[in-house]
Amino acid sequence: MSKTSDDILAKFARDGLDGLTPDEVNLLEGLLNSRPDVAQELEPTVARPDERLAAALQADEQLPSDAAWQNVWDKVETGAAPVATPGSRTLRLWRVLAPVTAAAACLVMVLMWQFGGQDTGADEFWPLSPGGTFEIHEIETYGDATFLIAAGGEESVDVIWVLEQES
Amino acid sequence: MNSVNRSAVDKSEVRLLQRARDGDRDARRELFEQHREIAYRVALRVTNRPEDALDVVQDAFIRAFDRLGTFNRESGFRTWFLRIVTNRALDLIRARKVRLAVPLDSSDDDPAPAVSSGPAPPDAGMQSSELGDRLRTAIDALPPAQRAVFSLYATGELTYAEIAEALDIPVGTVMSRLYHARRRLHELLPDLAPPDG
Repeated sequence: MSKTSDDILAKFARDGLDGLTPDEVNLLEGLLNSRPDVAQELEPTVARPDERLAAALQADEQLPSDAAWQNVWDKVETGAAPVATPGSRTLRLWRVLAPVTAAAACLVMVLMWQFGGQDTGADEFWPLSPGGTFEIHEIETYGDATFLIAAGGEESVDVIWVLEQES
Repeated sequence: MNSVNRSAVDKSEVRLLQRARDGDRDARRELFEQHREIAYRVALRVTNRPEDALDVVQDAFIRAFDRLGTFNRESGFRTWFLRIVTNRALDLIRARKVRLAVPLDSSDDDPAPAVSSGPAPPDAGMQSSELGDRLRTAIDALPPAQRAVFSLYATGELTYAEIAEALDIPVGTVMSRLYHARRRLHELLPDLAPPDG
């Protein structure tokens, strides 16, 4: 350490904070913040006000009564989260798994949709592909908007969107 | 406290916190009774109002019990809890928009505002009350950063490391803010300044 650092530390050890000038305090701050080994020697020290200040602070403090503390505790009890029960652990687990499960189900549906149909060369990153062979059972139109075709299968109804070709 | 006793205290606290985290009402009550006074004293020095200090303590305990699952035990519970207390108290005074004698963003080098300090009355009770008023006024004039450090320091129970941890600042910065806070208070309350020499 430089002589200046040694001087600052020595002066601080001898006279405390009150014995330092503002510039010396700035140096001390920089020294302690940059030298953990030096700070470590100071850290365990209990920071206590001097006698006069401590006496003034203590005289000024009026701690709450027992009744006041009980009132605070009653509010803490009602304000805090419900007491944990064994069942709530399961609920918390489900709250985490539910969105994950939903996302996995959507992914499976998309993959089934993509790989279940004929490979028509659709972009591999786009799960939709042009329809292959299907039987149209019903057509609905909405003016110039997208045509909605409901193609019925043996066990389910497939909804296929046919988008207008842009001219 | 020797290392053996400290280890025993730590384990005891770990067990208590585990029970409190599991919702044990008695464990939570025990934590409340262990830490309510120091929390109140810190909150009182930051907010300068007993009723606000109680609100801060109440809110801090509610938050602490809600967040016990996030307490990672790198610091003691008291330090972690006092961080919550200090932050809540600072939030409250910012929300209250108290008119301080010194602006909230004043630098540490700004001169201290004048605080009325007329001659002390002869009656000891009045003298104590008047000193308390002046002390509160002087603390109220500190910028929030200095006030927070001073409030924790004023408890006389925390190490510099604990103060640093509670405020999430380095120890050197604790010393600096404490220095400037004390210097400002001594300017305003020369009868509380340490004697020269």
